[in-house]
Amino acid sequence: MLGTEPDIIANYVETGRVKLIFWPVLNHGDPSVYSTLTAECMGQQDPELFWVVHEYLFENQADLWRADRDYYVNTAVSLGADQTQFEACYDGPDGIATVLELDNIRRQRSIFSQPIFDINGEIFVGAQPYDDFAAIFDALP
Amino acid sequence: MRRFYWLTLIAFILTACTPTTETAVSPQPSPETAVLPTATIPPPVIVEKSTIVADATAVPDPTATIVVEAEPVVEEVAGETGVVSGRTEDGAFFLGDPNAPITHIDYSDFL
Repeated sequence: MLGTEPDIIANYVETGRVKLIFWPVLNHGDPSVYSTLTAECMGQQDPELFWVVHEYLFENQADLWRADRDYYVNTAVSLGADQTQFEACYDGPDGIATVLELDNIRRQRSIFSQPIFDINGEIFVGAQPYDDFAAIFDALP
Repeated sequence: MRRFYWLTLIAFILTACTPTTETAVSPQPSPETAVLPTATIPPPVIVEKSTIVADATAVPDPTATIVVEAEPVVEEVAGETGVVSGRTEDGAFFLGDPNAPITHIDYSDFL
């Protein structure tokens, strides 16, 4: 979604045509869990911060394999999060519980790989070029 | 006739007083019968009525409760660009008009 998302946001989300939902799929062990937990904890402070760190994490995907707690705390603070609140969330039970629950729900929806896109109930498996998304959006009423 | 009247009245009073002894004997079964029905029947009637009233009152309440539950979950914040962001009722984060005609769910991992 790294390549297509900015265009989708600019052309369809910001124009009010599309509501974009990010649903975590934790398929890569701890790196998946803690990167998603970071986004969750940012979002708890401010949903807008979720989308800020969401973009940052995709852009710095290569770092996430070896990222530790300090990496995520520093990232969160540098992007505008309150450190105390972030650490309380990151180390506490509620944030991780939410992340794992979302992951559990996607399994119940038979989502086992990523990326998968659900556009008004129609499922598209695998990365799609922007033009394909645009064509799908434009075809919908 | 007056004597007959008074005799009849006295006899009646005596007859009326005699059962007092029977009543004194019967209290043992009576309390059981009296207590149980009294304790069982009236309260349920009262409870049922109040329950029905409560249920009737509660009928609109669940609707209100659902709305109340949904509203806090969906936090909506308009960012600098004016685009709304928040959480869906399921707990996932969304970006864009909550009432947009197209809902695009991106099931993905940051890795």
